[in-house]
Amino acid sequence: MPHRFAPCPGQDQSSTRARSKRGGFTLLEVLITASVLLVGLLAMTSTSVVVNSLRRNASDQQRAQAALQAIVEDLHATAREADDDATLWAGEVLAVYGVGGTPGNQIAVAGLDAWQGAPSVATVQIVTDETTTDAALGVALGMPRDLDGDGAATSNDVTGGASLLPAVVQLRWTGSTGQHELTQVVYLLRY
Amino acid sequence: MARRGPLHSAARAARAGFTLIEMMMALTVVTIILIATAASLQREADSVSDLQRITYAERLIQELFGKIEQRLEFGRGFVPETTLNASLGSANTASALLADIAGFPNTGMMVIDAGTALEERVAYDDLDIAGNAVITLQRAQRGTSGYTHPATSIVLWEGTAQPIEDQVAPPAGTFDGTTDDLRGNIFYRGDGVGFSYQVPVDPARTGSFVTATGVRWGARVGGQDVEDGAAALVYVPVGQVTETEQDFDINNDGDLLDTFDLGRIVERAWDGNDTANGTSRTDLIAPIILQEADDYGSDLDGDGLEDPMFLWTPESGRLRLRLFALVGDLSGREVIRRFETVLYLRNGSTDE
Repeated sequence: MPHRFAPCPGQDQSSTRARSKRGGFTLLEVLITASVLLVGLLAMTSTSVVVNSLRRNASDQQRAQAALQAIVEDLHATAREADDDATLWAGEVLAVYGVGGTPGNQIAVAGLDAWQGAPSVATVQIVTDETTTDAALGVALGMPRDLDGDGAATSNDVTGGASLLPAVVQLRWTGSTGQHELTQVVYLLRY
Repeated sequence: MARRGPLHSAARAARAGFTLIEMMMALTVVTIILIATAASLQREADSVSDLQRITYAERLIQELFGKIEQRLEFGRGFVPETTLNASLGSANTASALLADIAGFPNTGMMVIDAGTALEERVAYDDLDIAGNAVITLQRAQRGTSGYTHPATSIVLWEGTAQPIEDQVAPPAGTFDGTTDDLRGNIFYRGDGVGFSYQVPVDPARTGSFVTATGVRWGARVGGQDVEDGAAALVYVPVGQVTETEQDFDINNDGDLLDTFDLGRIVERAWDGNDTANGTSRTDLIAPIILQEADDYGSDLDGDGLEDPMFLWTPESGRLRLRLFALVGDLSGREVIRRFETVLYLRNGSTDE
């Protein structure tokens, strides 16, 4: 069996002769080779950048979930610690997680950047209006509903007598791959 | 313009390769590309390595938080604060009689006369539950001196940090530190390196944690439910790192003089009737948690406020966890990350 790579008579011998006569690479060849190398290296780098970005995203997500859980647990603790007198309870909860409270309804989360134009990463919305709807709130809370135990869902403000307060906790942050959001609904009970 | 094609090709062929200038230009281009790519790859590799370490530490800490949450979800916390029931001489290393030893782990450290001129830290090796005493004492620990303490001196377990009552302008000596919190700055007492608790138990496997008189409280000791048992999460140092060795200001306080313990969170559990009936220890995380040696609960992020690991508010059932983990070193620099969460203990405290 003839050798698989044996040169064809005439053609290959003359080509080999021409190449050996040239004895090197042209600038164009070198630049093409460098370009191919560059494209390969850039592809490697971009893969690394994507992996890095995914890791960062996962890390941000974990941080956001931890912050969300901390806020939700703290809301429960706040509800427990507040005065169990129906006329005071909701007001004391709002004094912590309402507008102007500490931490208030806008909370920064270390390591996460808020959406452009948003004042903070985390927001807490405590619902005191029995007549508001899920559609208006944008979450499934089962509203409107009776929050003060009077058998009707007609009061626009139950702060002076609530037994139950729905709250919506939202985290919105900007990561390396865009904007992200986590939402959790929590029901606070008067003890 | 004259047609140069064939003549030019002929000249090139005769030249047999490229000129020195062409070669230098090509080499320069290739070198620049290679250097830029290598630098970019190195930067990415460093960044990926950094993120990998942080991700690993985050996973460990999240797992720890998960384990703690699982343990405490239906638990209730102790408030291990009591008084001496008899005076304690400065040389006494046998035992100290307490008014109540509930919540004091089977081995640990207590603080006597905190915030006063007589403040002393005393380590103990065991509990005499029937006798309401801690036994086998090591006096004058963590940089304190040994004193004689009168009966009725206040005794705390160093583990629990609790907000004090006066959060407006507490007098010096009534608190051990101020920590930043979701709810603003909080004055607290204690070091905050542990938390003791009980959980509902069912030793006889009846399928119920409740008896006619209420919940059956206890702990899992060595894998068995033990009624009246108790458990504690405690920080246990394993090794030390110094800022001088690392050439890195770990707590960001502007010097390289500090020494830090590196340790883990451990769950200790003991039989609440007699520790001779059983004790157990479970390591909950690898030793990556930092505390300043001889100054547990101190500021670790350089913000001027203390950082207790466990901050327990019995009135609300709120337990804040704040941990600083030494993730590893990168390019000769230590990487330290702060992790924090809040747990709500629905069953509150044993004091209620």
